[in-house]
Amino acid sequence: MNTQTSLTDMIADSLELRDGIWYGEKGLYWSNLSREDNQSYIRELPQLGAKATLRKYFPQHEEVIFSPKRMGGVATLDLRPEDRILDAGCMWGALTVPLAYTGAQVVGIDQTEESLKFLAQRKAEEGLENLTLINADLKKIALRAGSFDKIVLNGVLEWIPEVENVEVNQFTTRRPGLWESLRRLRQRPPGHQSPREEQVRFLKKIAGALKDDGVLYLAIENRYDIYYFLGQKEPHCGIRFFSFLPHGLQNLVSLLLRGREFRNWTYSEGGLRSLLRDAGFTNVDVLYGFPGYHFPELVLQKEGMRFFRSAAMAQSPSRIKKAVKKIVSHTVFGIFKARALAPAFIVHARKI
Amino acid sequence: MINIIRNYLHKSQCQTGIALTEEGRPRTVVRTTFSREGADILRAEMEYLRWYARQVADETFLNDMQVHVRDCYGKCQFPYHEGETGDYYRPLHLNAGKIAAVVRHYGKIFADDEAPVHGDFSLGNIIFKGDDVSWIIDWENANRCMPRCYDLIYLITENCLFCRLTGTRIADEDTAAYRRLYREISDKYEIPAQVADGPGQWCSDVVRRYMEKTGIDHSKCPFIAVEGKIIREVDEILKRNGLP
Repeated sequence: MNTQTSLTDMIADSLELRDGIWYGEKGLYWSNLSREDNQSYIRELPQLGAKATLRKYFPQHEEVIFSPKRMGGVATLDLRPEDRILDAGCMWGALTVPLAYTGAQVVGIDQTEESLKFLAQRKAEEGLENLTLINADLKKIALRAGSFDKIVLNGVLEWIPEVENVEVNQFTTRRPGLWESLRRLRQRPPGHQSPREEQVRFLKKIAGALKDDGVLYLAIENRYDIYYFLGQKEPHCGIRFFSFLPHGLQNLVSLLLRGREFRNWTYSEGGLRSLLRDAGFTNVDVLYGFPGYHFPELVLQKEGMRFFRSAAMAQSPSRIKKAVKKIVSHTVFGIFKARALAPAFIVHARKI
Repeated sequence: MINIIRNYLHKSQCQTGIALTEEGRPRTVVRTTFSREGADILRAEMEYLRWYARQVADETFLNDMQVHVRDCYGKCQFPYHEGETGDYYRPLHLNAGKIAAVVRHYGKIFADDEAPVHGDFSLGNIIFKGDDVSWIIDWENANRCMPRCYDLIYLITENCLFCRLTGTRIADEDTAAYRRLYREISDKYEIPAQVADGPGQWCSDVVRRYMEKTGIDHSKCPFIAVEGKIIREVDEILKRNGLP
């Protein structure tokens, strides 16, 4: 799909095409890299190509962008070449490019222009004419009703309520200092919508953009992942023993340690079902991703927990941690099938 | 819904999923890939699987098999076969009945000149009903490059290797069983002389040559992944007592 006419079937906004990317209203920055780092490699992209550029500048990100294991959850969908698929928050195309391989018409929207420039290079190298890239604010872009067969939100929903630019490393480690934290505590910003309200509003938009028989694919961390109780850092703020605190206490801790309110809400399975129901998704199937949804070894429905194997969770450079993970996961998931404590949810949500 | 039970495991180029019935029983196996290499492998794998289904005259399997493979994407599904796979951690003499059944099944089904080599002919890839072979799974490494006797030599030697790895002693009963099975195999297939120097090392050499010839990564094969010293130990035991 490479014409303005086809795009306007799906996007109501007026977009401008430049260098293979359609541009709409700008949103916040979100990346694993700082803007400076992102800018550093873009100039060499056309000469070296996507993979070679990444290997030269940021080899540590090669796996997260190119590993086919990223598609472990998406493979549970019934993908068809006649589908229209929206990858909302597509970033560097870890899922977008493999989705385009299926022959489907794929639209990738991301708020960070630099990420899309990298993805545009991949698109050109692979000759993916069925892929369209849009740089726009996910919360503001107008999607036409009933446009998509599938919409993918892979690690995106918890970032929707975010009000700051995000460079992930800095965002999850920054310590503003005690005085700055106390000052922010006294000067809390005026109430905007709660994170849950923002997520429901966004999901309603997504529901509207889906065809009646369309499917939302949603991947998100479990607020009550067993490993949070064992000291694993919450990935959106980098704080231990944080995820399962009440939201008010989360805000206090986050203001003190990170200088900001905590808005990257995740949920229990029940909380997630309730959120989706409020957004108009009445038919929800939940699968569980082990050891998570980024590089899942296993993606199992409730009846599929018999296929759980603890080796899937035993990944760590430390032999002791590996052994502990194996024992804990075998007990919690292998014996007790305690899905409520699974690391991540992978959801297929339908309106009817 | 599809449960993903293997996501590009052991350097495989594909994912394996299982779709369940409403009662929660496995109904269909789904193999998916999102890469060019994976699509080539999946295409070949489905041809070999189709060949096997024709050999065992499983019309239901052939009718229900669905194969969709493009340049860089493939999704194939086929019926799930119920049953228990073999246990290669169990001492060889306790597996001898099952392995003898496998040798008979192999001799019958893989008899013609067009027959491929399975390439990963492990007890863990054979489904049994009692001691009888019900089905053979995991055809991702099937090929027509390896020697015809490779599968069966691999089968009996791998059982000994895994016992050694778990600290189970390869006892006299095991080497006696190995000797009997080896004779059965040699009655049906010409076994190269190098096997007598060490079946484990021979399997390792076959896989290395296969990887060099095809460029396919088979480095998770136990005879490549396991330390050479352990393979040599197993070979010494088998040469002393297990080989005719």
